[in-house]
Amino acid sequence: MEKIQKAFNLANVHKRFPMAGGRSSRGNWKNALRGVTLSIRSGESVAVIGPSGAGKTTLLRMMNLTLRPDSGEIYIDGIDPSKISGKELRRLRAGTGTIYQQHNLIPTLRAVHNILAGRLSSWSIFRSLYSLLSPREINRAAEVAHQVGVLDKLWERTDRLSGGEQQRVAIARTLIQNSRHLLADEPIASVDPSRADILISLLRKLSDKSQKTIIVNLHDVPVALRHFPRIIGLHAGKIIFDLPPEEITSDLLIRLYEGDQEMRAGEAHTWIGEIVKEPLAG
Amino acid sequence: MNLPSASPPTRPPISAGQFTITAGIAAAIVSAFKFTEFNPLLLAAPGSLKAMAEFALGFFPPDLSFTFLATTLKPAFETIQLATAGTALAILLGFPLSLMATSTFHLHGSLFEGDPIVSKSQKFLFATPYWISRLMLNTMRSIPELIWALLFVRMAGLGPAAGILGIGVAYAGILGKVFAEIMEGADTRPALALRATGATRPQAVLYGILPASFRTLLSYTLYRWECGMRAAAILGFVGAGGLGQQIEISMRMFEHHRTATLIIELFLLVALSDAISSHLRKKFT
Repeated sequence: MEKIQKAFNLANVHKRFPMAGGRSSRGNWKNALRGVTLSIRSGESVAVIGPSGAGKTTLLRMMNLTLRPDSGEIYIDGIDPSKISGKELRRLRAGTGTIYQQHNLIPTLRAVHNILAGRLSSWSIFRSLYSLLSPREINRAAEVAHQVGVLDKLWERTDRLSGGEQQRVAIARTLIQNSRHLLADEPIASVDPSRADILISLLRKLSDKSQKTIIVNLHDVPVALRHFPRIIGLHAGKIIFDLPPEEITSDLLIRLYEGDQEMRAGEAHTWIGEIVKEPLAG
Repeated sequence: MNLPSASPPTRPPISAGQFTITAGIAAAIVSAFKFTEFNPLLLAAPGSLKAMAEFALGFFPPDLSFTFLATTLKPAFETIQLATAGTALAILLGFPLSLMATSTFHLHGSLFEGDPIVSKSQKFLFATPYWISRLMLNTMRSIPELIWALLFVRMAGLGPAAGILGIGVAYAGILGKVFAEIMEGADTRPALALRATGATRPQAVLYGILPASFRTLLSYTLYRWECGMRAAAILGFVGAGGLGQQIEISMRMFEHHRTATLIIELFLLVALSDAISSHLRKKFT
């Protein structure tokens, strides 16, 4: 029964991929997740940190149901996705919105269609086709575009928008989807550092307003520590800590980024220092 | 001063596979010339040079009289119609088949990620439309439009209808295959993102793949229309009407001045369609 209150419940999840260029039959595998167990309540705000290649994206794709684990159990809103298919599976997927690092929008469509694409799960194929010719539910699209500040770009072709505007269109797409949970994969990786905090605040604000669960993969540790009450550290496919930001020490961060090329000596201490200087926003 | 690390590593030896392929291609080219008894020197022999010159001179001057030019207007227009209607028919037949023949829509790939694992027999069942459409496209494509037109002349009689059907069927095979390849090569990340929101696979194709491939599809179709213009001329020789048929008649009547005029007209027509299609294609890409 406990599983039902949990938005995401993962138990001992393993996932491996055949190595690029290698043959899976020869046993050249990369272990992306090595026994991940975690549970996230509905409405919670969580940041997942860790070096590149730690398995953050794989974990996110497990949760938005575009990857299946090799072994282990996953429950989403108390439902085991491996037991359902077709319409039921699509309904479960519709409950989670995802924002991608590369936005994954359709560049040749107008912004309005990219936003309305968040409605596809409630539309028939005929309505979907008709909407491409004459957009349906424009008022809804305009409302979410206004919330993220791209209302004036509604009729622009998406590839003519700036990177930041495209990201806002991608956020608007998840808003119109009206999902219970929001996942974001490195949303600030390609954003100007000065705007990173503004963007994360916007995501937190939008999810708080509708009591959405929000799980964000972040490379930027100070931003994660500033904005999220729960931090999960992922290293080489394993969770090495799951703590509130106050309890995270520089030693833990050094362990997390062990062997990572981008990690410069002593940087972890600076990160903690930054948090002391700028206490948790809001 | 020599840098110790600058000496190049030993070149890897040419593999047996590379050698076999190269030798095989060379042998195929040489034997092709040998078996067709093609000898370029024959063209340069004094007797044949003279004959060629006489034949070529026979075309001059082209018949540019108003009365003749006026009679070629209708056939010229007919050639354009053959190419245009043929290409339109090819889209009508080829596009739906290409949707069935795109492997990434039916068999495997990003659009299936996270979907339930299906049994071997189910997979086989889902793949049936794919194999049927591939078989149809391959058949349509491997028989050239000239042969199709000959068959349709028997069925539909002499005239443009046989030509339109000939171009339509043969080009549907080509368009269908190329369309499928274009869509297989499209970026699947946007489509997978839509599947993650709960969209069906056809919806993900409609929003994620088709708009992204649209310009390439259109550009290739225009190129085919341009090819259709040339094909339409050839089809005239088997009775499908247009400039080709007029050229055939004038040659049979030894009216070489008129043949020259008709060939010039055909050249202008092809050049015009070439210019139109390349202009439009530049706009689309």
